Amino acid sequence: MTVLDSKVPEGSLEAKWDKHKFDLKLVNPANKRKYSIIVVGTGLAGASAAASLAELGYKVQNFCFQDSPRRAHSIAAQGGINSAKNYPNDNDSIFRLFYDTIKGGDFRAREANVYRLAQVANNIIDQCVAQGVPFARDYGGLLDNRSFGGAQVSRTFYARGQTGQQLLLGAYSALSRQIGEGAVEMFNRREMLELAIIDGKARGIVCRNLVTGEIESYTADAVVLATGGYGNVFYLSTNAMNSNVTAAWRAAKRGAYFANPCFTQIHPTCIPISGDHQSKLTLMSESLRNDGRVWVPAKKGDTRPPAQIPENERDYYLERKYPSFGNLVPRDVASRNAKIVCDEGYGVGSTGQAVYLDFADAIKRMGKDVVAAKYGNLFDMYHHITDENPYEVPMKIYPAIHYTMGGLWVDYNLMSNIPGLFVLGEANFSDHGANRLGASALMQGLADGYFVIPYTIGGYFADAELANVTPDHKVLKGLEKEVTEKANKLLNIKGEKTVDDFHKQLGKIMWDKCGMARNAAGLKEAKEQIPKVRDEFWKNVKVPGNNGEFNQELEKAGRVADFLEFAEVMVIDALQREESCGGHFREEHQTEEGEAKRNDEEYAYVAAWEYKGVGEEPVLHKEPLTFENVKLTQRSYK
Amino acid sequence: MTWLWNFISSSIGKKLLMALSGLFFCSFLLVHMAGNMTIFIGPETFNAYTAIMSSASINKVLEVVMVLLFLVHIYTSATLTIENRAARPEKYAMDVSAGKRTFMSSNMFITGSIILIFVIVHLIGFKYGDWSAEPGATNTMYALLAETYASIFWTAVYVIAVIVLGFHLNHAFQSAFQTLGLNHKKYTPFIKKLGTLYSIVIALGFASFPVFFFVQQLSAGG
Amino acid sequence: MNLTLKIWRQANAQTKGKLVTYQISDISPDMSFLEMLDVLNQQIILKGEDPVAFDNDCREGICGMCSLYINGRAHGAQSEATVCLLHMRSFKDGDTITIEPWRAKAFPVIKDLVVDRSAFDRIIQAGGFVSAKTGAPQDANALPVAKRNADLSMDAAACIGCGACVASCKNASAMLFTSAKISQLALLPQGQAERDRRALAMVKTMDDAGFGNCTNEGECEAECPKAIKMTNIARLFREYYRASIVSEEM
Repeated sequence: MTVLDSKVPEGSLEAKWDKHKFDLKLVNPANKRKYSIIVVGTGLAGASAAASLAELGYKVQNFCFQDSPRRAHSIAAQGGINSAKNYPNDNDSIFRLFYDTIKGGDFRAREANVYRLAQVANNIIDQCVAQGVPFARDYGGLLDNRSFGGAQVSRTFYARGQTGQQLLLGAYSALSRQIGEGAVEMFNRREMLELAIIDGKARGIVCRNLVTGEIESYTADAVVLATGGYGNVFYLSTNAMNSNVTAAWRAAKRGAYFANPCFTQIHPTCIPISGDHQSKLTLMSESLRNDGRVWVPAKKGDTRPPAQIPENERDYYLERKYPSFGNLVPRDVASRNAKIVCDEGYGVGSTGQAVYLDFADAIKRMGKDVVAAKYGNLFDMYHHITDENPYEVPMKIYPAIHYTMGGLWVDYNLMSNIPGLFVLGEANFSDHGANRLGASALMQGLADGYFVIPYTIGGYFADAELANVTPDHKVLKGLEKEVTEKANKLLNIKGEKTVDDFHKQLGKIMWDKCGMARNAAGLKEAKEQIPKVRDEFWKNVKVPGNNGEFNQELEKAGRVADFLEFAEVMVIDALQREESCGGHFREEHQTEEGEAKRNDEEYAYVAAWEYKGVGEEPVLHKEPLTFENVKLTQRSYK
Repeated sequence: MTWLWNFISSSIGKKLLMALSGLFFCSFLLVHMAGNMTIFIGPETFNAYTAIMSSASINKVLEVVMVLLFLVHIYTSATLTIENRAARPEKYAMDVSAGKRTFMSSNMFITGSIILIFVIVHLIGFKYGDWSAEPGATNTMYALLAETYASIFWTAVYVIAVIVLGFHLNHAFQSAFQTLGLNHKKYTPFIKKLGTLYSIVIALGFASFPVFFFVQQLSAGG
Repeated sequence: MNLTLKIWRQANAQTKGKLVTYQISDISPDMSFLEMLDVLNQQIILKGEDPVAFDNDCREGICGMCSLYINGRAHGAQSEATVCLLHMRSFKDGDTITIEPWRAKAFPVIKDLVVDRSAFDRIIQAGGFVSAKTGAPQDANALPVAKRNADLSMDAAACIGCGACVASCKNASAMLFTSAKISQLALLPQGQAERDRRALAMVKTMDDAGFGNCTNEGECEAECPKAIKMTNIARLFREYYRASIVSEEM
C-alpha cells in the first residue's frame, strides 16, 4: 500500500486555486496546436472540456458512443445547478456552498477540491448565460433561484425541469462550434475499449466503430475520460440504458486506481418498479420534495386509496423525524427512511415498495397553475409512465440508484495516477465524498470541463516529455488484437442465456447486498456469487451476429463483461469500509436513531484500488483526508 | 447579386416566391370576381366593363406581370414538389396524419395542376374566344358566356374548377402569411378564419356566374 | 396480450429492407413499448437469429435517441411523448403494429430501425451557438431578459433533436428543428450579435443536407414530443428574410 499524493497546493483554502493556477506552467499559444488531446465522452464534462480545450488551440478528438454528442446522459438531469451567487440575498457564500457540499458528502471528499468547485461555480452560471442557456427568470428579467436538495438557501439555478438538458445543449453548442471550425474532430458511435499506455503515459485509445464494427486506434498527447458513472452495475438504475463502466474500467485494468467504488447514490424520488420486464427506472426530480409531502399510511397494510386515508391516519415520517429539514433532508437520508418504512410493512402500491409524494396541499396553497408551471413536465412524464394523474392522486415513489460518487482516482489537477490520463465529471471520484447533494453533479461536470482541465492540462504538457506516437504503434496494434479477440470470444460462446439475463442476475446481487443498506455477511455472499456469475457468463452467454457489423448485443456483452469484473471491486470496497457514511450504509455501524455512523479515526481516507487481475484481490492505496477548515460533525438534519 | 440568387433559390426563398405570387393571385381573384359581378346588373354594364378591361393599356402591363408571376408560381411549385418527393425516397408502409394535415394542404400540387389546366381552357374559351367589345357587335362577352353556360357540361367543369380553386386557396391563404413570417398568437387565428372565408367567397362567387347563366337559359327555355 | 408486429428489417445501408412479421405473446400493459421490443429481442436471440436494432438510451423522453414510426405515426399515436414513454396499455390484445424507421433521404438507415441523424448535428455546427468562449463573461444578471422571451426561448430550446418533425413531415423537412434553435437564440439578447450569420448558415446547411421544403401543414408541430410550435418556423422565416435582405451578411 502506498499513500497517494493528491498534490493539493499549500496555502489557505481560499488562496489555493489561485496560487496553483499561477504556479502551473503555461503552454505558449503557438505551441498549443502542437498538442493533441483525446476526450472520451460528450456529457457536461466531456463536451465542455473538448470545446474549451479546442478554444485554447489544442487539437482535440472527441468520442461518444451515441449517435450525437447531444445525447449524453447529462441531458436527463432535471433539477438544477448550484452556485453561490447569493442573488436572493439569503446569506449564501462560497464558503457556505463549500461547507454544505463537504458536509453533505459526509466528510469523505477532499477539502481543496470542494472549495475550488464552490469557487468556480459562479463562473459556470455566467458562462452558461453567455452561451444562451434559457434559465428561469423572474418578471424583472433576472435569474430565478430555488432551494433544492437539503440546502437552506436558494442557490439552485434551473431551466424548468430540464436543467441538465439545457446545460448540456449549451456545452454541445460550444462543442459544435469547434467542430464546425475544424478545431475538434468528432467521432460519433465510437466506443472506447482500451487505453494505450506508452512509456508510462496515456497516449491513445482503441475504439470500436459501432456502425461498421471496425476496431480503430487514435493517439494523442493526453487522454481525458469523461465517461460518466457506473450505476448500471445494478442493472436497474436511472442511468440511460447504454451508460457503462467500460472506459473507466479498462483504464483501471491498465493501472489507473479506482477510488471509493462503494459510494453510490440512491435517489429517493423515482417511479417504483412495475414488474419483471422493467428495463430502467425513472427519476422524478427531487425538486418535487420542495412542495410535495412524503407519507405512508400510519397503519400497516392499509390498502385504502390515498384520498380515503384521513390526515390523522397518515405518517409524514420525514417531517416527523426531521422537523427542521422535513421533506428536504439529503438524498441518502430520504432514501433510507423510505426503505425503512417499506421494510416495516407500511409501503404502498401493488408491490408495497413505494411511498406517497403528495401535492394536494401544494395545489391547495399555490393553485394548480403554479404547480404546473413549476413541475408540469415532471407530472406529465409521471402520468405517461404510470397512467396516474399526479394532480389528482399522490405520486408513488421509491429510491433507485442514480449516481455514483466513486470513480477513477485523480489528484488536484484531475489527473489519475497514470500520467496524461485525466478524468472528469462523474467518472472521477473527486468532489462529492460519500453522498452528492442535489444540483451538484451539473456543477462539478462543468467545473471540471470549463474551468479546471483547461489550466491543469497545460501544466502537464509544459513538463511532460512526449515522443511522437502514431496509431500503428505496437502497443495499439497489440490492444487492437486483444479487443478483437475478446469480441470473437464472446461471439463464439454461443451459450443458452442472453446478456440481459446475466446483467439482471448481477444487478439483483448488487441491489440486495450492496445497495441501500449493506452488511458484512451480505457483502461476503456477493463476493462469492459475482465470480460465479462471471464464470457462467463466459461459458454460457449467447451473443448473436458478427463483430464486423452494427451489433448492439455485442456492445452490451462487452459492457456487462466489465460490470462483472468491476462489481467485485465495489463489494470489496464496501466490505473494507467498516463505517457508515453518506450513501454507504453499513448496518453494523449506525447510531441509536438509525443514522449513519462514521468512523473518522480509521476511515477518513479515500480508498483507491489497484487492479491485479480478474478474480485477484485488488490492492488498496489510501489517500488520507485532512480537514483543516471544517469540523467533522455527525450530520444532523433534525 | 449572388446573394439574391442564394436567397431565392433557398428553400425559404422559393417559399417566399410562392407566397408572394400566390397573394398577388388572391388579390387578382377578388378584382376579377368583383368585375364579373357586373353580370348581375345586366348585359350592357358587363359588356362595357369588358370593353374597358380589354382596352386599358395598364392591363397589358398587368397581364405580362401576371404571366411572369404565374410562371414563377408554377416553376417554384414544381421544383419544391420534386425536391420534396426526393427527400423521402422510401415511402412509409403505413402513414397516418397526426391531425394537422388536411385534404387541402396535402394536395396542393394536384389542385394546382387542375387549376393550371382550367386556366388554359378558360383563357382559350374566353379571353381568346370569339367575342368582340366593338360597339354594336352581337358576339359580346355576355353572349359568349350565356352560350357557353347553356351547356351543363361547361357549367359543371367551371363549378368543379372553382371548388378545386377554393380548396387550393383555403390552405394557400393562411400558408402565405406563415411563409411571410406572420404567425402571431394574436392575429393568426383571425388570418386562418379569414382564409377560410376568403376561399369560400371566391369559390361561391365564381360559381355563381355559370350557375346564373345556366339557370337563366333553363327558365327561358322552360 | 398477444400482438402481431410488422417490423422493418434492413441489414445495412446498402441492402434493401422489408417488413417482417413477428408474433409476440404475454405482453403486460404496464410495459413500455421499448420493453416489449426487449422481450421480442430476447426471444429472437434465443432462437439464434439477429435481434431488431433500434436506437434508445435514456428511456425517459429527453435524450432524443429513440425514433420509431409506429402504425404510421412518429413516436406512435400519443401526443407530446417519445416512444420510450409509450406504454403497451395504449394497445389492445390482437393488435397488429407496424414499426418503421424514420424515413428521409437525409436520415439514411444504418440497420433495421436505426438511422443516421448526423445532418442535425451539422445544422447546429453551422451556427446553432453563441460564440462565447469559455472565460470570464459578465455577471449572469448583468443581462436581463424579459420573462416572456426567456419562456419562449425555453419552449424552443426544449427540442430534443429526435427527428420526429422530419419523419412526420410529408416532405421530410427539417424546418421545425432548425427553427427551434434559431428561435431560442433570436429571442435572447445573447443571440443578437450573430443572428444574421446564424440564419444564413443554418438554412444553407439544412438545404444542402437533402431535407424537403416546408409546406406549412403542421404535422411536425402535432408530432413533436416537446410541443415545439410552428410560430418558431415563422420566426425562422423572419430571421432569414432579415439576414438575406436587410443585413450585409453574404
